[in-house]
Amino acid sequence: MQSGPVGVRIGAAALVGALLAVSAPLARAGTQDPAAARLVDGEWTGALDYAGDAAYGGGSSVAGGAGTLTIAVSGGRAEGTFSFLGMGSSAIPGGGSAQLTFGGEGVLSGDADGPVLEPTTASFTGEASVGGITVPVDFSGPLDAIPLHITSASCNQVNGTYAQESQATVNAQGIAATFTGFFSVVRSKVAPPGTADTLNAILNELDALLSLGTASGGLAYDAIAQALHEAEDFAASLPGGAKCGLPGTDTFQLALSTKVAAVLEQILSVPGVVSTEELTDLMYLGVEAGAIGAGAPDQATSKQLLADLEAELGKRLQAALAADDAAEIEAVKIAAVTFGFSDLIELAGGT
Amino acid sequence: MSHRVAALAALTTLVALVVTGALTLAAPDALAAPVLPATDHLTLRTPTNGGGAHPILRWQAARAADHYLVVVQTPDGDPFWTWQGAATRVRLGGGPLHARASSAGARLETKKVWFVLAFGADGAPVASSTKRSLGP
Repeated sequence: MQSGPVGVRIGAAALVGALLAVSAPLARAGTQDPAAARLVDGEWTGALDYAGDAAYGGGSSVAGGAGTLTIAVSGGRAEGTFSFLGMGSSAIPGGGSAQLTFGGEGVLSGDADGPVLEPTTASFTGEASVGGITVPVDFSGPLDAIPLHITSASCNQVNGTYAQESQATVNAQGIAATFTGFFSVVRSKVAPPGTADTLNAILNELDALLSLGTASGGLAYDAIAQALHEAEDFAASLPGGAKCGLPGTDTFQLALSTKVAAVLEQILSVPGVVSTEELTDLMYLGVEAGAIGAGAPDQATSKQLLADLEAELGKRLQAALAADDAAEIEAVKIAAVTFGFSDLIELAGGT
Repeated sequence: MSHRVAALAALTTLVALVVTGALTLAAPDALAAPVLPATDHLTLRTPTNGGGAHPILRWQAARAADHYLVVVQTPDGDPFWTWQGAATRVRLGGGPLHARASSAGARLETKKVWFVLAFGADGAPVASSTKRSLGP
């Protein structure tokens, strides 16, 4: 990075740091089953997606991008390549700003149940300005290795998150960050043409929601529903039920299942931003996506989310009963019937 | 004659028990209770099995319905798959109705139950079905 005024350097550096620290603080560590959460032998292709925001010393940064990923797995060892491209912007204390584009590529290594991204080149270009002074930013170099965390796996599709470790590093530096990183790969032999682009499009639909905690409110239900239906259409084009040595399962996964779970978790961290109707609609989408419910591969996350959702609905039902709000009571009751929340059904007056 | 008297007595007793509520006759289908009794009845039209991993779920259109919520649950009542939309049929797991029968996505591998709720344009429920068994 070129030298410049301190404020510019700090802002640009923070933005670069934010871009590097793509992470998924919302994703839990639980997986469907340790024995099943792996890539089976074969060729895989898919997408990387990341988005996030950070706040530091009166400044803030937002960034988002996408990439492609190919993996070859043999004998439990994974090898592959990846590339990524994105954009970010930063508001610097004192009225300055920075805008960067970034990109890079690297190799993938590690085990079938723990692949690791190893960036070999990464570049950040753009400009930063503060106090009327603008300087170009041109930074390049290798990045630290980024482990991929598999959250759901079937014979033909594997999903997960990445960069949780980088998140911890950023937080330790006093930067409040909300970054998310997801990947989804499909076995190459069953992947339709344009699979990486399709997966990226599906994942990108939800990016705007992942900064909901700092947004002014309002749930982009239509964006989620659209992405979900695209993911279902994509799944319908893939063969299912293949025998590949993974344990038999009654669960399912879509390209965005993990991401929808993250959205639900974020919603529950600030439940006041959505109405009960919006919350229950999102819950229904969560079940449809395999993010929660009996079909969710990640049952640990699902059960925790459902418990949190039941508790939130319980609070709303109590308030509705106190206010004699029949419409709200009915909305909670319908959700309770759908989700099998028997205590809430009874509290709402039964069916 | 004594057998006839005994039979009449038994029948009378049985009727008395039912009338007084002391005895509830078992419903032929334990899933027959409508999900939301206060709403109009909505009829499901998909056979209880034979539809494979991605059966087409069909139901009767409900008067004043703006959209429907389809719910597929495990026999224990846990949610397995849901769908919302204006159509009166949907492929379990989503995707085109004519998609391959063995595709990925939500699949019916074991027996489930399902029901449909109909909502008016104001979001209030206007009809509901019973819970019905659904096997592959």
